[in-house]
Amino acid sequence: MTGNKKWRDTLISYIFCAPAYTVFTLFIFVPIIWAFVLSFYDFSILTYLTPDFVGLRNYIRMVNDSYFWEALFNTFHFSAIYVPVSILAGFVFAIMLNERFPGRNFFRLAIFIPVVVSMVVASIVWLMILSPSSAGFANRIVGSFGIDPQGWLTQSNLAMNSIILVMVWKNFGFNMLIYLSGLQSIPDEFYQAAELDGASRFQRIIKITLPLVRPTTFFLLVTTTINAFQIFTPIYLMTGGGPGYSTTTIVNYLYMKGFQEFEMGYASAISVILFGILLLFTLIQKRISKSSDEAIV
Amino acid sequence: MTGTKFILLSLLLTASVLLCGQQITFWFAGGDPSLDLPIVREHVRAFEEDTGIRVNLVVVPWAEDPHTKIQVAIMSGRAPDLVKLGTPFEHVLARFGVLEPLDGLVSEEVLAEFTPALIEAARYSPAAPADMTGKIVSVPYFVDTRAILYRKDIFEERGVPEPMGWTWDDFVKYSKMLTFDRTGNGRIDVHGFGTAANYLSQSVIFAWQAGGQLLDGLDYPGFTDPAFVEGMQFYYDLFHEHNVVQPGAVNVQLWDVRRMVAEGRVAMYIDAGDSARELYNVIGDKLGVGLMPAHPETGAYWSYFGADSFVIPSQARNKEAAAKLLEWMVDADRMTDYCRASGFLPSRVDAAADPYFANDPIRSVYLKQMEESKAWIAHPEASFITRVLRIEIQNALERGTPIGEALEKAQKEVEAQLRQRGYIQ
Repeated sequence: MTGNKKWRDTLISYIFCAPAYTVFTLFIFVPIIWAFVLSFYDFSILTYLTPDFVGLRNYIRMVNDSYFWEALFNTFHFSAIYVPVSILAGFVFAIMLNERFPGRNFFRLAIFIPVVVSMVVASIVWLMILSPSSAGFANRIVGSFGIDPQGWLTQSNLAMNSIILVMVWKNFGFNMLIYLSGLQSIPDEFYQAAELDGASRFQRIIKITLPLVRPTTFFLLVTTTINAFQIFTPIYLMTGGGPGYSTTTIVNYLYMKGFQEFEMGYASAISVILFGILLLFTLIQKRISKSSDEAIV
Repeated sequence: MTGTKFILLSLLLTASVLLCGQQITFWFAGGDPSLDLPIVREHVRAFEEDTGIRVNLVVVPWAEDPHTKIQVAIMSGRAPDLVKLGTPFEHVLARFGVLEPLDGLVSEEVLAEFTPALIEAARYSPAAPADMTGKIVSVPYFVDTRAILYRKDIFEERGVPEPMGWTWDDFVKYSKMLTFDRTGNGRIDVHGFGTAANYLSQSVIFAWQAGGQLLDGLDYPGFTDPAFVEGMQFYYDLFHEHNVVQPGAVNVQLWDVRRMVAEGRVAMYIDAGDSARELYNVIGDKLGVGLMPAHPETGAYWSYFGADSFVIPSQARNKEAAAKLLEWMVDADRMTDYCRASGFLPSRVDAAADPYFANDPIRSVYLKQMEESKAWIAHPEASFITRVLRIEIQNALERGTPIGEALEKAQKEVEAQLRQRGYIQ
């Protein structure tokens, strides 16, 4: 009887999971495997049904493709700044807006609004703000301090940082929201006890808040890193990957090769490498997070 | 009894399908719902009434990447019967052998009405696939070339004549006169020449004027040819020697340059006819249109033209009906109607002769410029060639490194890829 019940429970669990796993398998797992298979072929959309098998040629080509490495470097450059800044900004604003004060909800809403704005709309608005013309909004502001107009999106040394600024503005509200929910799950007693022990506000944040929101931080670290590596729309719209290749990231390069230059096999190979990098990063982050948790315990 | 009813019903259904006549699918890339699309729908409706052929018109906005969609449709075996797309993309499709040559489908009389240069640009030239070489693969619906758009008020203020019949030397001299500090605060407020180096055509037109070409007759890149280098050097010098170009010109959207012209911060720039219309809506009669400057020795004042064209995929189920609709759409009167609404130029000689275009002070200049305009390279690797050259030119402009070195680098890279892909030896 017990064996039958266990078998029946297992079957029911599988039945309940089946719809989600079917969707996952069809629309995520199979395309990932298929992209891997296609990376060994040379084809365009039009020759998809008659591709040429080229073995490892796409991967060998990637090793010698300086533009691929430049795009990879740009992606790391973007992620290395965007990920910590947007998470830190989300955390700082969550701490501030977790306090009770008049207008708190207004500020929460104001910071969250960019998250729900379409990336295309946001990119076009920022494109106008960051116009290289002295009439551009950003240049008017720096001009009022006597600074010459800047090529925010037209100078290689500024373009990527301008994109990072736009992306932080657009997304740190989401991080703030997640941190707020994390903060609200920390019992007040911890802070009261620390206060009685004479801990300063800064010490309470470092010693209580930060360790207790570690799972939230890990979640944000993983999701923000994945999003950072997949950045495409603002670069496509605001700089087109330029000037030169200075803002071309992996996904922009992949799009360019696959959809504009009809090299789908090579684009598939790039996507496989991107997948590998993200998988590796996620595993490293998970490992680090696990070690830190064990250290706390 | 039931069997008889079933047979009768089947016969009735078959008869009704036959009586309803043919149906074709027509994909229209781009279009503006408030400008030209109502005209297109009207023309299609009239075609249906006239021929009894039903047309399933599918509008695919540019934002939805119609060129990728058409590739997917062809790959899936569900290609439409007729497609309007942007040139030179039809040459990419022809390279893969998925287009129907139009030589036999569209009548000679109709093709004879078009500007010869446009029909030549619609002819597939590469050696492979052999059955497409020399065939007409598209029929142009409209064209649009680039001319100089300028602020008449700033030209008058600085005593500069209208840009008609200028040489390169005039262009430099007047661009310098138009670059000035209006407010007297020690900073340049108005720049003589507005440009966007991320649009490769902005620089390549000068290389064409000097006698250079992107690809020679054997499909070898011609970036290091002395004439090509001379034209590119001229463009480069506008940035670094003459200092007449607006800040940020290395990587800026052309609509942002247009905005600077509207604000009076740039005196002139190079753009298409639809932009002229938009600018006219903002600054009215202050807008002037002039011809490209001519090379001092060759006398050429080449510009670049783009076109939207009709193609018939080889998978089309009803090619004859599609060709009928194509001929209907490019009829002189309908083309005139369409171009009046959209602001583009007709591709037919007789439609372009319509007083609406020929007597208009702006459009007539574009028509004149059209006489000395070239199409972009119609090569399957055109996107790659354009990207490599654009990037190297942008890098040279931004870093101030010699343009010759940039062109040599681009030449090597493009040659390597074309060789690897089997286009050159």
